Amino acid sequence: MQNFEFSLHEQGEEILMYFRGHFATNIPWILGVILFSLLPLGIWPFLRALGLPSDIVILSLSLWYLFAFGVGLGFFSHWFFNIYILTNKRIIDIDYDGFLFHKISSAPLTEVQDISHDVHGPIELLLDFGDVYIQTASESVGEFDFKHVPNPEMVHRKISEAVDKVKK
Amino acid sequence: MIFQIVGPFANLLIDFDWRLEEVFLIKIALFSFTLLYFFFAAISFRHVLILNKMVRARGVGFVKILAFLNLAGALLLLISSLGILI
Repeated sequence: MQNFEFSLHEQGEEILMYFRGHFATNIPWILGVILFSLLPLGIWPFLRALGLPSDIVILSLSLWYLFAFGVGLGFFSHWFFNIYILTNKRIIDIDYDGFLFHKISSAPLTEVQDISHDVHGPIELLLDFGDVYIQTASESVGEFDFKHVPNPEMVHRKISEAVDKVKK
Repeated sequence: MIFQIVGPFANLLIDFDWRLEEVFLIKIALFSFTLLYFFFAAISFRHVLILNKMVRARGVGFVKILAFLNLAGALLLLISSLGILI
C-alpha cells in the first residue's frame, strides 16, 4: 500500500489496508483544549489584581499555553498512533496509550475465529463509524477491538475477505 | 452564597503583600513545574521518534515536528524560568 510502511512486516507480507479511529473522536478533546486555553482570559482581571510581577505572569501564561499544547499533542498522538493494520497474513493492532506506553499485537489471519461490528449512538450512526471486534484463537492476544473505525461494515467485509482467502 | 464564601478569600489574596520570599517561592514552583514538563516533553519526543521509525504513514513527520516544537518550547521556558529565578 502506498504512503504506508510498517517496520515489523514479514517477507512477502502485503499491507491491504490500515485505519485509525474516526476523526470525529478528536472533537471532545479539541473543545477541551480550546476551553482550557480560554480560561486565563476569564481570570485575567483577577490575575492583574493580584499584583504579581509581570515576568511571573508572562512565564505562567506561557507555561499554561505550552501545557495546553502538550495535552493537545498527547491526545492527537493517541489518535494518530492507534493504528490497525490488515495485511494478507496478519492483523496488527498498534496501541498508543499516553506518551509512556505502546503495545503492538498481531495475530495471523488463520487464527481469526469470528468478526463482529457495532455502531451505537446517534453520532456514530450519523458519521458512520463504530467498533469492530475480532475474536482470535491466539492465547496472548485474544480479541482485537478496533475502536471507532470509519465505515465498520466495510472494515468487517475486508477482514472477512482476507480471512477467507487465507483459509481457502 | 458562593461569593459570600469565596469573597473573603479572594480579598485576602488581592490584599496580599507579595514580598520577596513569596515571589521567590512562586518562581521555584514555576521552575520545578517547567523542569518536570521538560522531562515529559523529552520522553514524549523520544516516543514519537520510536513510533516514527516503526510506522511510516502520511503525517508522521508533522507529528514529529509538533513534538519537537513542544520540546523546544519547554526548553525555552525552562531557560526563562531559570533566568527569573537567579
